[in-house]
Amino acid sequence: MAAQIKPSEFDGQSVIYVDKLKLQHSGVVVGQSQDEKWFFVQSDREDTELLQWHFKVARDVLPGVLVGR
Amino acid sequence: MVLPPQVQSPVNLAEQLLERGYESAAGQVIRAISQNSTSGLIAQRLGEFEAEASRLTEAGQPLTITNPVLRALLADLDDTLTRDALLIDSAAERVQGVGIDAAGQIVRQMALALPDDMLTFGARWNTPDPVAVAQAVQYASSDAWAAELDRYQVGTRDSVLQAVIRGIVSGQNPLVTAEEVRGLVEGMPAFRANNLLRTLQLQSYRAASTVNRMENSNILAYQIRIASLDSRCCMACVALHGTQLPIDATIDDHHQGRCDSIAVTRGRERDIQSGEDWFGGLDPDRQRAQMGNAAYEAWRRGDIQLRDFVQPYRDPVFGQMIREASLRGMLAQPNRMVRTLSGDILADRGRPGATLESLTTFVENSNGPLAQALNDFERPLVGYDNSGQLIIRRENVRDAARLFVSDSQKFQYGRDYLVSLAQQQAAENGVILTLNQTERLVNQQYATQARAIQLASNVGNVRLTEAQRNRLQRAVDGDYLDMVYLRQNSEWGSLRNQLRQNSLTGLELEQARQNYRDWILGLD
Repeated sequence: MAAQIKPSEFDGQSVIYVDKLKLQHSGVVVGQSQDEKWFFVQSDREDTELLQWHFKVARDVLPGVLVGR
Repeated sequence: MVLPPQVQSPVNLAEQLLERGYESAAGQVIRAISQNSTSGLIAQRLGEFEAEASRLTEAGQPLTITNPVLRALLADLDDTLTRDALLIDSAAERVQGVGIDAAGQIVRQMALALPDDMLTFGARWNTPDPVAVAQAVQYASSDAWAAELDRYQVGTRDSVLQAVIRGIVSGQNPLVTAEEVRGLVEGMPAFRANNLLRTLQLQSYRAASTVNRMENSNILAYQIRIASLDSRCCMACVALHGTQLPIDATIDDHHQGRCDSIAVTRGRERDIQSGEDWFGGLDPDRQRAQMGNAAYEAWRRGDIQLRDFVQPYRDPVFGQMIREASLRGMLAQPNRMVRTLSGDILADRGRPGATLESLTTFVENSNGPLAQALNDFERPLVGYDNSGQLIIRRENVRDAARLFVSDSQKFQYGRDYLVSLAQQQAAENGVILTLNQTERLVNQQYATQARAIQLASNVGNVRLTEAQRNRLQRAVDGDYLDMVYLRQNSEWGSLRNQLRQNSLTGLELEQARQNYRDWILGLD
């Protein structure tokens, strides 16, 4: 049931950040949760398994990890 | 329908074949040695010693080292051990021989992928010259073997004597000492004889196996070390299981070790699951039981790795051998390395303790993962004041605790995504890991960071919220990924899973990928 995700104002925008283990996460926002608290991101790594989304980022921290913002 | 033959594990097969030969060559000797210690003169002396211990107890007198009954027992034990050593020596050549004979049979049977078709097309299994094999296996005729038999006598007697002395020094009831002495006198000679002869057989088998493999170097590519991987298997052998070795390498093992190898034929190369991977997939309770409590905790924290359990040493009779290292020994290794996602780095040296003094010593002497986490480049938890004294950077500790919690709450990952990402990035740093190993390493690294924050807050009396303390503790316990994993990150599911039934070309897969992205981006 894909209804879990709905469009967001950031859809299509790129996200990139490095976590505490120095793993680099990058991808494209593909939607948000129904309660608009989370943004879903699909990884842009070619070698990741294709999924609807790979990780999610809370609304209050998203601006800090958007590319070009 | 033709059913496949019963498949046995190679180690079990070798064990069965070796067992038969051992029983015929050594069984009688071991039983005779056991009988020497449990009947006849020694049984009589043990009875007399127990009666003497009883008499001393009733009289309220201590046992002394010059007690005549004790001296009579030790003197007769000496004579018996001399006879036992002769018995062991009399069986040694035969035991060595059965090891050599078994090698000729087992190496071929255990060679992987040596089917009849290979032999039909010209490949031929060569049998080495028996004289050459005998020359390569000369343990039983060596001076070191003779010295080992001397140690057998002296060592066994000394163990008994030490038990008596310990009893005397601690003021132990002579009856308790007599009971301990009986246990040693009755059990140790046969136990040590079996240890010696069994090791002689197995080492002879391994050395002869090497000659057999080298004789067939035209058809063998390499060998893979295998362990029995049961609950008796030591951690050094688990760590080495699955290792590829050249065919001229002899499998180093410990006394009575059961490890072996499978020779792999040219053109049919293959691999097996590593011991580390096998162990990583076991239930945590089983891991703890097999490794031991303290070592398990150290391994889970990332302080030690499986390979640290492998301790090579040189045995005077059998040459290069390995044994399981003690935890203390492992932690004391000066240049011990630990694995991280960024590559292997030096392990921490020493322990941080719980005071500013002990932490200062630790930080100044260690550059391992915990020390690095305390000295984090972006947000160091410790620093130095103007007088050069170590201080806790309280503000940074608070920030680190807050971020540690918020990161795990505000970024959440699909399990497969995160682990495969970590695996790929580790590979880019030259660290090749399986998914299980990757998961454990990610947990270990988060555990180290959490420990650093806990430590700094404890030493610096920095108050953390209950939520922070709980989350840090869960990470220290190795549960970080359970906090941030999403068990189901896509209800639509995996494209690959959905299309698993079909075989897609690269172009078709790319098109499917594009369609899928379009579908997602077009959601309304």
